[in-house]
Amino acid sequence: MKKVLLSIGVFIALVLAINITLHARDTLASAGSDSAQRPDLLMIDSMKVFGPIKRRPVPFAHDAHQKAVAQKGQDCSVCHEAKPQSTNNELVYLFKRLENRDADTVRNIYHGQCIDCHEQTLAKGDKSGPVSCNACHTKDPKYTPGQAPMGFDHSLHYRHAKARDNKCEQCHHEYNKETEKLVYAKGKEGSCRYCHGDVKVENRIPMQAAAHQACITCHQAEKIKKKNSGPIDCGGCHDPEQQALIAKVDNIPRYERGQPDAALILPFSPDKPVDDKNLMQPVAFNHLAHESTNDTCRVCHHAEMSACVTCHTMKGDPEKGDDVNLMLAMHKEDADQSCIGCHKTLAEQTACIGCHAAMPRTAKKDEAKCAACHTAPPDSGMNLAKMDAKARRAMAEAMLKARPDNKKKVATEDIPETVTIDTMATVPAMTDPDLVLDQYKEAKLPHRKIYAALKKGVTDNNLAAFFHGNETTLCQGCHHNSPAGTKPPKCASCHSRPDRAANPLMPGLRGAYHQQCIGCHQVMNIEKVGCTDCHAKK
Amino acid sequence: MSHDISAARGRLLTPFNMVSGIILLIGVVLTIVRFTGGLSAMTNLSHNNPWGIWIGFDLLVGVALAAGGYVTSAAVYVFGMKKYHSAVRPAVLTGFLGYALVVVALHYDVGRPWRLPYPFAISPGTTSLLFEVGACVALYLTVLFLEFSPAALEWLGLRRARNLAVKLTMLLTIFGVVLSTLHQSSLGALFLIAPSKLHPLWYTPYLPTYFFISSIIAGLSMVIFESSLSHRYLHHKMDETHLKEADGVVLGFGRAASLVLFGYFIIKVIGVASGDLWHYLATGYGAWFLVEMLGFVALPSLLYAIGAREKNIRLIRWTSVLAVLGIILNRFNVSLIAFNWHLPADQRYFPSLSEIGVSIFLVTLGVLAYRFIASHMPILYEHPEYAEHEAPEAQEATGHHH
Amino acid sequence: MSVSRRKFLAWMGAAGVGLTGVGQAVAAGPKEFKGYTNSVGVLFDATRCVGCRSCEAACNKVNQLPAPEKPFDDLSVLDEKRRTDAESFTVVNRYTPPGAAKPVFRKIQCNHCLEPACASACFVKAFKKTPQGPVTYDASVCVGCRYCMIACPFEIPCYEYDKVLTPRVTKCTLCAPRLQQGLLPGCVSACPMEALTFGKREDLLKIAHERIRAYPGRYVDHVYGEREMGGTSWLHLSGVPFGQIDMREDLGTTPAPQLTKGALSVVPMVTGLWPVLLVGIYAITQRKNKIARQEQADAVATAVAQTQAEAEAKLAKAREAAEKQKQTAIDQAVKKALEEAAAEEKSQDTEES
Repeated sequence: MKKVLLSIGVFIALVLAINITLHARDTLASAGSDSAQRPDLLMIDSMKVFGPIKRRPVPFAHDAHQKAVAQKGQDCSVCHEAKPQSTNNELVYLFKRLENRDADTVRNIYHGQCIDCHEQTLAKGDKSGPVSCNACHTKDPKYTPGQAPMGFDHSLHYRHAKARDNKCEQCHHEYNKETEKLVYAKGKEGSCRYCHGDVKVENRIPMQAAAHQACITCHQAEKIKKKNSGPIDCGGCHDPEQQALIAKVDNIPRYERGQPDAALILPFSPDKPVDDKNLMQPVAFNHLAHESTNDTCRVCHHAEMSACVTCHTMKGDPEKGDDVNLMLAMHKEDADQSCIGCHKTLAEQTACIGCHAAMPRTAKKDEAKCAACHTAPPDSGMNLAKMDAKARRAMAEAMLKARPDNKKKVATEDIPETVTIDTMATVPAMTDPDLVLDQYKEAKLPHRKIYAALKKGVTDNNLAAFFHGNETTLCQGCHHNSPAGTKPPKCASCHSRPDRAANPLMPGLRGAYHQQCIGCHQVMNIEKVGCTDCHAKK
Repeated sequence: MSHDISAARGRLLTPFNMVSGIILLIGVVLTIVRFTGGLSAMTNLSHNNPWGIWIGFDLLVGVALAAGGYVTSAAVYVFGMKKYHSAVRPAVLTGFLGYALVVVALHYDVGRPWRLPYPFAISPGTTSLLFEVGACVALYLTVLFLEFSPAALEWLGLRRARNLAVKLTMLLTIFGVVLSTLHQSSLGALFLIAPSKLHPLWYTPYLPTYFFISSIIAGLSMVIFESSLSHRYLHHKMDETHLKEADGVVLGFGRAASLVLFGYFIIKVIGVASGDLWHYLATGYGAWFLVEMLGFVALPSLLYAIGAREKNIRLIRWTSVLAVLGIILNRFNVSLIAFNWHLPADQRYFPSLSEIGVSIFLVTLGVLAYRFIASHMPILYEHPEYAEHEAPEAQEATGHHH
Repeated sequence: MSVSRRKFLAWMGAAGVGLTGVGQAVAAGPKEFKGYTNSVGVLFDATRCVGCRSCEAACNKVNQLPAPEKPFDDLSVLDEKRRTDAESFTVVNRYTPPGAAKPVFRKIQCNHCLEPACASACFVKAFKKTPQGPVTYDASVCVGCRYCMIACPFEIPCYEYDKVLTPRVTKCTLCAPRLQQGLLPGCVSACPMEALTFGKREDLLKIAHERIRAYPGRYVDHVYGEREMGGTSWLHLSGVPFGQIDMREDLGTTPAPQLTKGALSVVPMVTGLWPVLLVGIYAITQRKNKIARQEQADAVATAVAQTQAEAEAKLAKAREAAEKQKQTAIDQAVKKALEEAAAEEKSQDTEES
């Protein structure tokens, strides 16, 4: 009997133990997932330069400490040492040290300094940070890092340039390998990110370190001089709410970096000219017009501030150009840096997408589309291969001026005001009559109003205006797959009896109407998508 | 014997009789409701949950617990274990009543019960495991009926018919084991077609094997269990041989059950390993699976072993209850609890009171029929007029020479 | 008693008959069914569906189903997720995938699988996959066991639980009667957006892939039903991952009949082997018992003989002893008599002298 009871007891204990441990694992796994984000939160894991860290990283709220220090009337030097031989009081953004010498020293600095200060503050009766091991090296941090990325756009750059009296050398530098010094190269200014990446490469410090060093040092220096300057706390730059408060300047004057107004994109590298009459026509690129289309130059000049063909050669360079050749660089549909890619993204704006979403990806490219950009030089006798840079720019400007004005306006009286769609009554039904036709009356289309709306979407937009200079192209949004004109064919001409074998994508007439109208309304966020919004019930 | 019958008639209004009488009455009412109002009038069945406890309990559990018939007759006649001979007739009776009630229950569950012969007579769907189940159950019910018939024929005094029936024993036993293997495993195989609906811890290609092995466990445990009940309530019907062999049956079957339970546990673990399902054990369903495995397979195996070693009849009897509950739990898990586990809670099934009522009604019918037959026919005792006229093979097999 | 030859052959014969009775053709090796040629299907394009429920209305009309509580132009029913019903062979549900600007709609109905689970599960062959494409249901043999509802991975078949005498399993029929008249299925006819396209399954697959190619940003690059559960006649295209419109992506590509093939193939094996096994065991145990009995009999006989021999030896010994005793007694008596005679002679001699 005893044995029986013992077995039962052991069994119950086993089941309980298993259940509890399994449940505990579940709860443990989900711990720490409700912490809020702070823009000033850093995870102190400095020991990782010496090898795998043994204790959990310590969450550290920098702004909170900055505030506490400021309240006591002190400044950054409480924690940060000055850079030796610095002219502008530049600080080293490491905690109480100039470099990471060895593991023990660094560890002792953190433990000693942090805990000391906390203990002293607590002794005075003020609120302070933790002093015990697991309170700092916590398993369950209350906050997690949440820095919104920060960068310069044209507006911010302009404000900085103005504050520095347009002295570019104050920020822009490049590294001279011979003298092993940072020097200023006029005319070669570019984005910090061209050299400073996410991680340290050789002696190039990462962007984070570079930006903090450059920005905060300068801001701090200005603050000491009691001048209006940028933020020195984390949140000032990295808090999304504070980012929204950064003033934006309109009508920024143009950069003066010697960039062209117009550039000639040739079907060969300028330093390796090819004398051949059978090459693709060059493209006269309106650089001036494109300068203000993006917030930064880096959208197009993504690796350096030079002509695309420098890296994206005709054949493609695996090192410099990531094996993307010139044709791909200009035409790749899913890349924002390429011409076609950017234009395609812009065509997905609400004002444009109604027509553009319905256009299928076809293998056959319309020759007319190529001709929009690739034009023959005005003087057919000119040998592009033998032109120098100045001549090419002049040629480009000339070609831009010589562009045919393909503006064609459509007269209002040519656009019917209303179109009554009642074709289902006249077209022989392919489908079961009493299931479908008897339910709705005819649809009255406010045709001129629709056209006016499309035209408005095009008017305010430079890109659209370029491509839709000929206004009959707006008609082609609905009157598609037929030549542009003021008398397009009726929908039923093609859609009443589609040849599904030859044209698997072509719907029948009813499908054509509904897909065209409802499809467009859906992507353009127009409310009219219900049945009775267009045709009343019988 | 006539004394016993008149005594029983005199004491008709026992508590048990009154309760079962009420249950029978309710059952009749429910039957009328079922056949006038349809399934929606009394069940919680839905389009997502087409099978409820009439399949989960009455069919799956009923067939499993009626497995004592083939297990016992195989042990006695094929394996020649003569000392269990007295357990054969009660086990066959339980089996016969169990399968008969399964067929009755199907008449409640199926939409058009008068068409139940259609798969055999009119339009066989041989790709279906349900066809296989139906064919084998129908055949096995016939086998059980024939195996049970000697007792009834002895009671009716039809000597020649009875002798003929007894001559068939060996053939029926073998046929019974074949059919039982097929339909016990096929009941598990029914769920192979729905992998997306059964929780991975219970869905495995080994389902047929698991159902077959657990039916052996069910049979062994049910023989012990209903021998406990018979000893308590039908003691006066048992003859000397039965009483003498009773403890031996319990011990022997308990030992066998311990071994089979252990083997079953092992193959279940192999199933989890081969399916790489260990991580499921850390979930809610995993905990439930562990309860089934540890509490209702490993534990009874252990307890049976202890009981067998210490010759503790009482412990074995109580463990048989645990083992039977384990079989019920397993069939419920596969058909109702782990089935449709992916559906939200408000779409899960729970039986209605009427469904539970019908199931209780059918079980009561079975118990009452068993009591009647065991009280009147030579189930728990040997009919004195026939003991010496057993067929030669049966005599050989059982070692009864008279 | 050992198994007589006659009995053994009789049992083997029975087993053999059993084998032939179960005439299950078990396919050897992997086979793939790519569908009947020219069988039809329907392509559903979730990017076109606007949830107008015209398909539901048409299905209701074509199949002469009772009018529902809320009319078909009441779009508030889309606020809840519905499933097919005994009186609704198709329903449209609205889904709001995370991060999607607009809701997505999906039409639910029988997918008319190439190798339907319902047809495999039905034990009266009430469900049939016709070569034309639709999976048809024959109410005249249905017993109402509802195993088809267990088997269907898409949870489509419904049951008329409220009917007492004529409950049926209900589902989309692909309008097989209309197809025979050369008409389109009701839902396909009615859809204003041509979200449903009817045609040969192989053509529909080509159309589906062409749409994906032509509008790469619009579709998820997958045609649902091309291979799921071995392939279905109803194909789906979607702009959001299929899991977000409640279409299970974990069903796999194994057709349902394949799942039960293993279990079914065991049947003839068991039928053939088990009788042999059991008869063998019986024969062995019988033989064992017979040998045990023989040994016991021999042991008894030996014991008896031994006992007898011992008894006789004892008896012989006793007899010998008795004989000896008798002889000794006689000798003693003779000796005594002789001594007495000698003594008497002596005394007579003394008297005479």
